[in-house]
Amino acid sequence: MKKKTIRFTTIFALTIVSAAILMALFPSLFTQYDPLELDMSNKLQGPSAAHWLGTDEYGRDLWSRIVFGARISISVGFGAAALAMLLGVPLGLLAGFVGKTTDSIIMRIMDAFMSFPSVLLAILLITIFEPSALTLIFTISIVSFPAYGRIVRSSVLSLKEREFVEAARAFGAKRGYLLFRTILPNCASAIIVQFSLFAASSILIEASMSFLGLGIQPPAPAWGSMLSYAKTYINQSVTYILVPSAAIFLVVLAINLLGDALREWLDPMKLK
Amino acid sequence: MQQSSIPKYLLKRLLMAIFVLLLVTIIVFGAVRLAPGDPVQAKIGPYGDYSEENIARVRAELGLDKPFVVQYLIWVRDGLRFDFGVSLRNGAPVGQLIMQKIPVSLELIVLSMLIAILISIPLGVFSAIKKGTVFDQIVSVTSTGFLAIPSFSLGLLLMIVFAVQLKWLPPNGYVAFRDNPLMNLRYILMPAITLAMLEQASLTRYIRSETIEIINSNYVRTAKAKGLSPKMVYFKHAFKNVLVTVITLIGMRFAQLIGGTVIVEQLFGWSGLGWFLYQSIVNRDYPAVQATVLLVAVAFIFLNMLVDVMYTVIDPRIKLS
Repeated sequence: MKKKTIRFTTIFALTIVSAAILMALFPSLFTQYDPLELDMSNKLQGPSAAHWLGTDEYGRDLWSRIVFGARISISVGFGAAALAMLLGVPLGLLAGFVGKTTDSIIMRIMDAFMSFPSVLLAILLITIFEPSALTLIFTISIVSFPAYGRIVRSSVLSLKEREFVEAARAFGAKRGYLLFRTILPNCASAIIVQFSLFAASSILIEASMSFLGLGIQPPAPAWGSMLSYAKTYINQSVTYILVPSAAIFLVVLAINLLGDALREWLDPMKLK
Repeated sequence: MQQSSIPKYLLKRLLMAIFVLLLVTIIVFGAVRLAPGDPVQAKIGPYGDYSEENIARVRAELGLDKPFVVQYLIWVRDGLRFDFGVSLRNGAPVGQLIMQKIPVSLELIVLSMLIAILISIPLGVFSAIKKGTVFDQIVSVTSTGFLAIPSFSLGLLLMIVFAVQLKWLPPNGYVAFRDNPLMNLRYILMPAITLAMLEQASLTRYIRSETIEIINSNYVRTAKAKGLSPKMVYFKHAFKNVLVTVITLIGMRFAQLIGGTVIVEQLFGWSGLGWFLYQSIVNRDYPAVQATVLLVAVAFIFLNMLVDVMYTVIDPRIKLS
């Protein structure tokens, strides 16, 4: 029975994530409306045959804004997670493998970045730049790379003491070989699982920043900024709030579930 | 050996915190200095005197004529005296403004933490004891769900139900407790529940997995083998240890919540520290942004240190390294 539920959630997660990625790549396959096209005679409508999720305060089709918004969420989410990986993994490897002073210095720098609640650090960094998708990717990766580094460092520390690494060392393996051929491949599953978790949290941070008006700027259809406008029309249209909320919720939930599934699949020993 | 190493550990932990604090001040100072916008222009205003002498005078007044490092040192020195300069918006001392906002946010954070604890301890502990049952699965599905909801979505949903549809609560605003306790309570309810529901999701997960670990530990198995009733085992032996974990978790989450209030306070117009920070950012009031972010980071570092120290003192099994 347990197995069945795992499969169901994984299929659900895979469907949502691949739909979101397809929307991000080929939005016009999913909708015939232009997400920026105004139609003032049809504003703030509920679901109808023409606009099956209704319209916003300018009469723009909500479904088409969700579809085109997926590009922003997916690219910022995955982009930030990838950049955090590029920053965090080498630093974590270095700290864990070299140890001593190098380790202390790297760890304290990461501690410093982790001393800010994540939204706060993102807000602080975003004041430096003009808000854009690239800025968001950069900012969010700065927020999450220390956690990435810590995870990699701790798995390097435990792998370093394992017999197969000892054995490789005893055979006279060079440091580079030890690091990239024996230790790194064994960190890979932790790295992949973290990637999916960070992609989900990056999407949430992007939505939060856009909601605060510090992220993607209008009229671009970011889900978070749609909600900050929907807030104003809370008395007129409930669907306007429900639709972007559901989009963020489903995508974040699906990526998290996929991360859990990956963890179980890649590391069956840890399954509790 | 274990005894003598505790003071040494505390000293080391303190030195680490001070070093991290130093890096944090550099990050905050650097970030704000790199930010766009000319403070001289902000000071003179759109209709002020833009003659060369006046610009030079204002630059000197703001200390911008000195080298970068000297500016940083002066900022740190003043910060240690709790002098963060004046707000560019209304000329009031930033330190004072922040002091007024701290209790407002603290009320919200403490209340939401309290609600979250009251929900998550029973849910976490019972789902651990009843592991694998329908109850456990429902709890796990709901907390996974809550972890995917952005705070503003949850807040807006509460607003739709309780303010727009049922009209039980005012949608947003703030009244001080001492001015009108009842109104204060009516305003705080929705933001507090929003934060609490998101917080309880991660707390429940942690408490569940910790409790499972404790239930499977040797001393609980021994207590069971001795023939103690399951109730006795859980409440006398296991629960005490669960509480230790809960305390450390609360410390950590508390610190994170200080940052999480920005969105919720902004949404519900609860004029605490997060709301103040948001207003300062929108108005490009850099001294206020700098000071608020720095203070939150200091509180964060301090709380984390406290949690670490408490953990080692309470639980001697923790390796001191």
